[in-house]
Amino acid sequence: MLTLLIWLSGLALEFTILLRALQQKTLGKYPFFYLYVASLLLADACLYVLLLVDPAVYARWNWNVGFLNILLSAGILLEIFKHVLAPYPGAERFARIFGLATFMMILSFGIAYLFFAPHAVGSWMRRASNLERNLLAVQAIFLSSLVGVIFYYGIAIGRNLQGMIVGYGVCVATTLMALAFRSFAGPSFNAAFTFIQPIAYWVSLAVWVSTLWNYQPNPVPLAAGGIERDYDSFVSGTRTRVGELRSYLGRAARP
Amino acid sequence: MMQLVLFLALGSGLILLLLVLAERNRRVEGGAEAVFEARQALVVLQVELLPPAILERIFQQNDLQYVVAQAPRQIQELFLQERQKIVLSWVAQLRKQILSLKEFHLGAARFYAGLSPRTELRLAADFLVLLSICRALQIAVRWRGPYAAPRMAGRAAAAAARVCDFSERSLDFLKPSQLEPFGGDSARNPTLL
Repeated sequence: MLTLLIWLSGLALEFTILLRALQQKTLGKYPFFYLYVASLLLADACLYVLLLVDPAVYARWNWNVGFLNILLSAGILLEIFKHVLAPYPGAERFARIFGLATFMMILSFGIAYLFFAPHAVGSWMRRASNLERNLLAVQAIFLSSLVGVIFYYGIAIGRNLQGMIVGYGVCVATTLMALAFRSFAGPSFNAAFTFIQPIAYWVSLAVWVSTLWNYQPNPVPLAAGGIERDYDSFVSGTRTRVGELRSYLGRAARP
Repeated sequence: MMQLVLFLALGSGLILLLLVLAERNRRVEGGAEAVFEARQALVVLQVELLPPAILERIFQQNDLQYVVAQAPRQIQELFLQERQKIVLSWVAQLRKQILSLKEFHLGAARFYAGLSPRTELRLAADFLVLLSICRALQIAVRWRGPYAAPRMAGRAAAAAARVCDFSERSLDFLKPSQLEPFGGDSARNPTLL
């Protein structure tokens, strides 16, 4: 009953987010994000009807739709790149290369795992659940890296993007942990999972409704005025000074 | 079990980051404004915090010798406590200066399209080491007293002056002659101990 209530209120929240976007004319501002929310709304509405009509078919489609939504949720990462990092070419390059390196490492690990790990056992459902968990883990790594870059370079972000990141991150992190528990504990955790996951999802939607209620563009940075040197000479200056400081302090610290 | 721990660590780490992000209320740093503030901080440091006379007064042992020779034990202890506070405050200023250099570098580097992630990672490690050394110095002074490392003051002052020198070159276009915030060249480039 509670799950159903969360489901229906979730539908209402998804509808509200899209309605507000239409009213505020912000669909074009965050197209990838709203495409994701629209896909969630469509999927949840169809699945609800399917659940009422044919629960057996619902179970199969629930997984397919879940994977599709995980893929579409990458749109939020695109919005972060587009709105938060694009005005900072240096930080954006750092995040892009770091993200690519992370992706290559995960891909290499996945390929190595296929060859060297014991063959996957268990039901189709269990394997699908593990795949979902692994995909979410990849997204959690990407999201953490992006937030790390935002912190490291002291990048200011607006309320809309902040809400987008926090809402999505909460859902990803909670679902990831719940799936990890389910994979570890087995079917005994299923009952708890059916509550935890929808609640986390509902919290994300509530965060999005609240933070995207009004359009608040990301703060536009002023360029690094006046510093007209190239990166190489800038960085070599910093490195020289850091090296000198290090040797001075190192010597000073010795008894 | 290992998998569970890894995924839980990843999930809880992300939630922690998001909590900090949600609480963060960073103001937008305007390029010119940030540079101007950096320049002002530099001038304040050079004019008010690093003059050689003040450094000599803090770190030379004349005062200690006088107090040890003339004053009772209670006064000696009080003197050492007060001097320790001053030295700690001075080291904290040095640390702040390194942080300021770091912030200034990051504030500018994030705009460079040709940024090298490898170099940035190395620099991040260098800054981390430097800040750790500063922290170690603070611990040493706290533990062994204000005169724990006799040559520390001169070297730290030299280091701070080098930071100032670098920052000054980065901020060349905002020379005091153009701004005249505190006036006079005599305040700049203090002689080191």
